[in-house]
Amino acid sequence: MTDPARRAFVVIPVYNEGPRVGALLREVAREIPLERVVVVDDGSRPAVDRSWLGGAHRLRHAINLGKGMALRTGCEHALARGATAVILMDGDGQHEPRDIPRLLQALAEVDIVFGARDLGWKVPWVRLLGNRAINAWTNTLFNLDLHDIWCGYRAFRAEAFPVLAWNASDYAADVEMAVRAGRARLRHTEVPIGAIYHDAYKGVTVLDGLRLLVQLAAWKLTL
Amino acid sequence: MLQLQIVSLLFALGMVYWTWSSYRRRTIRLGELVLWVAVWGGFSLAVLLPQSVAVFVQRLHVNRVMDLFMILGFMLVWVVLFLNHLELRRMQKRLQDLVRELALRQDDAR
Repeated sequence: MTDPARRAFVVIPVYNEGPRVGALLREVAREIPLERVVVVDDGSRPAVDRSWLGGAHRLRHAINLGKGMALRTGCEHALARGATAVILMDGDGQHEPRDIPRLLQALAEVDIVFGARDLGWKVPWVRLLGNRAINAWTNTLFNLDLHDIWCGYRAFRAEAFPVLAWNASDYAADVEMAVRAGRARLRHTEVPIGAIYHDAYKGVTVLDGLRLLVQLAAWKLTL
Repeated sequence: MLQLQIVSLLFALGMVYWTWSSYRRRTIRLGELVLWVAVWGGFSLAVLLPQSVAVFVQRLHVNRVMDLFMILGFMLVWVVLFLNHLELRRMQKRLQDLVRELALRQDDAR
C-alpha cells in the first residue's frame, strides 16, 4: 500500500476570515510545506490578501458558493497537482494544524480519517444537541459508527475522491462525505482532535440542522 | 358587464402586453409567446362568454365557471412553480460550474 503522506495536500476553504488565515497558515507550514496548501477564497469581501498566504495556492470563487463547493474546488486542484492524500480543515482556525501528522498516520491504514472533537459543554447546548441528533440519525441510517460527523477536519486518500465527491454546496458536504464513505464501505477510522472555538459553527443554524435531517433521509433513497 | 369581468379583461390585456414586450426584448421565444397569448386569450374568452366553457363545467362536474377558473388557475401556478424550480436549479448548477472553473484557472501561487 502506498504511503498517502508522501505528497499530502491541505485544502482550506475560507470565507470572510480576514487576517486569521495568515495566522493559521503559519501554523500549518510547520506540518506541511505551503506549496502543498490550497486556500479557496469562497467569495470573501474583501478578498483574501495574497500577502497573507506565503507560498500557498490561492483559488478564488468570484461569488460565495458555500463550503462544500469550495472544498471540491480545492480538492480538484490538489489532485490535479499530484496529491496522494488531501487533508481538509476549516479556515476559521478552529482546527489545530498540529493534529495533521496524527491524521496522516492513521490514513496509512484506511481510506479516510475523520477528526472527532470532544464537544463536551464547550458549545451552546442547542448545537451540542443538534450535533448529537445528526450523528445518531446518520449512524442509524447508514450503519456508521462515527461520533462527530459534522467535524470538517479529515483526511482521505486520493483514490477515495471519486467515491466521496459530494454535491452538497454548503456545510452538509461534511455529512455527505461521511455518508458516501459509508455507502462505498471505505475503510475509515476516527482520530480525536483538539478544537479551538472562535465563532464555532459559523453559518450553521438550527434550520440547517433540520434541513439536513430531511436531506439524510433523501440520501438514504438516492445515494 | 360585471365589474369583475372588466377587471379580469384588463388583467388579461395587461398580461398580453407584458408577454408581447418580453418577446420584443427577446426574453421569451416565439413558442412561449404563442403559448402565453393562447392562455390569456382563452382566459379572456371565458371571462367574456362564460357559457362557452359551460360544457367543461358540466363534464368535469364542477359547480360554477368560477370554480373551474380556480382549479385551472391552481394547476397552472403549480406547473409554473415547478418549471421555475427546474430552471433555477439549472442556472445554479451552471453558475457553480462557471465560478469553479474560473477559480481553478486562476491559481496565483508564487
